[in-house]
Order: sequence, then C-alpha cells, then structure tokens
Amino acid sequence: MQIIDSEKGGITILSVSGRMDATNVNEFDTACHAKLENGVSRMVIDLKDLEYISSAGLRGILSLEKSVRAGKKKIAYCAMQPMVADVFKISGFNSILAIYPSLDEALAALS
Amino acid sequence: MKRLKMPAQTEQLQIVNVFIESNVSGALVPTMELAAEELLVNVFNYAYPPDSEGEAEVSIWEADFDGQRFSCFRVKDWGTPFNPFREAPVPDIMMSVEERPIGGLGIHLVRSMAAHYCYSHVDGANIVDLYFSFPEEESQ
Repeated sequence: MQIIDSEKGGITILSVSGRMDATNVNEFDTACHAKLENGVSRMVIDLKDLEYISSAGLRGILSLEKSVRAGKKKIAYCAMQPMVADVFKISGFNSILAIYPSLDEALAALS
Repeated sequence: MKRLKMPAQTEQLQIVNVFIESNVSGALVPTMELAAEELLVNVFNYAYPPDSEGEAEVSIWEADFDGQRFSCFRVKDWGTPFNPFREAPVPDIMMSVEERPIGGLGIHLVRSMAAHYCYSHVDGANIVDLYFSFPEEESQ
C-alpha cells in the first residue's frame, strides 16, 4: 500500500494505492490520524488505485470515520474499483459513508 | 489438488496470495484472496495458544457440484475447534457509524462471496471449504 497526500482548495486528499489488508492497515491508520491531529478538518480518501481491501481495511476506514465524526470534521471517499465497491456494499458501508464516483465530485461535496 | 502448508503467522499472507494467483483464473483472484485472508487471520490469531507454534494449510481445486463447476478453496488448521459460520457473531450491517463496533465483518464477507460454504471438524482439524462460482458462468 502506498499513501500519497496532497491538497486542493483547502481540502486534504489522501490517495491510497495497492492493497489494504491485515498486514498494512496500521500504515493507513497512522497516516489518517496524523492528519486529524494536525488540524485537518476536510479530507477526501481517493481510492482510485486501491485494488484490494479486506475486513482489516474496513476496520481502518470505520475507525477513521468515527474519529472524523467525533471531531465534527468532514470526510468523503471516491473512485472505488469494483472489488473495493463490492466489499463496501456487502458490509453496508455504502449507506453510511459519503462516497462519490470521482475525486472532483468528492471535492465539490466538501467545498 | 494444489496445497500449501505454512506456519500460523500473518506474514504468510503474501505467500498465500502468490499461491492463489498461480492456481486460480484471473477474475476469481481477489475474491479468493479476500476469503483466504479473512479465514487465515482468524486462524493465525485465535486457533493456537499465544506463543505456541501452529500450522495452517490451504488447498485449491475444481469440483463439479450438483452439475455446476466451482473453483474450491480450503483452509485447514489443527487448533481449537471453531466453526466460524456458527460461532462468529453476525454483524448488523444497517447500523450507523456511531453504533457500529469496529471489526467482525470478515466472516460476513466470506459467507457473502462464496456460493457454498462448509465447515467440518475431522481427525482433530478444522476444515473450511468454500465453493466459488466461475464469474463467466454466473453471468450466463
């Protein structure tokens, strides 16, 4: 897994690529929580290049989402590949998270 | 039947993925890797007492079941008897973010993605068999 961070219009974008699984989800947790601790209030998780996610990855996403809401901050997810979209759907995540087809739509939603 | 035996350690997942990639047709790879991870992480974390050395084995084969072709995957361990399909709690996937407990989705994913799932405890081993439909046949 690789995480690249960038910013657009005051919104932090974390682009996650590769695989998010039991062996590396802690890297995602660390990167996201560092952002929140640094005062980031709006964040997009760009999943365009994420090929694979397991329940360990879902734990990371849910834990992030809980922290964001507890801190009254905003977050959106975008551009899921079919495997990731399937896992989100089966877990009911698509009805509780703000998910957009593209990065531009996610950014617009948080603007 | 292709088989791979490994020590019960999380680092083995990468070797299991290579094993799956070399023995399963392309479209099924992510589904089977997901099932493998979910079942093996449980085995690695809970099947054997902490600090003891245990093993797990995975197998891949094809079967004709009630007239339909399946790609099959087995996870076997020799630890504490555990039927994940009965003993793992069933998550409420309609729960809100605030109410949801973190975790507990692994077996739900396995159950949802396999066409058939089967647990047996034979000769001191936990055996989980999963039957996956071939994607091209599912769409026909």
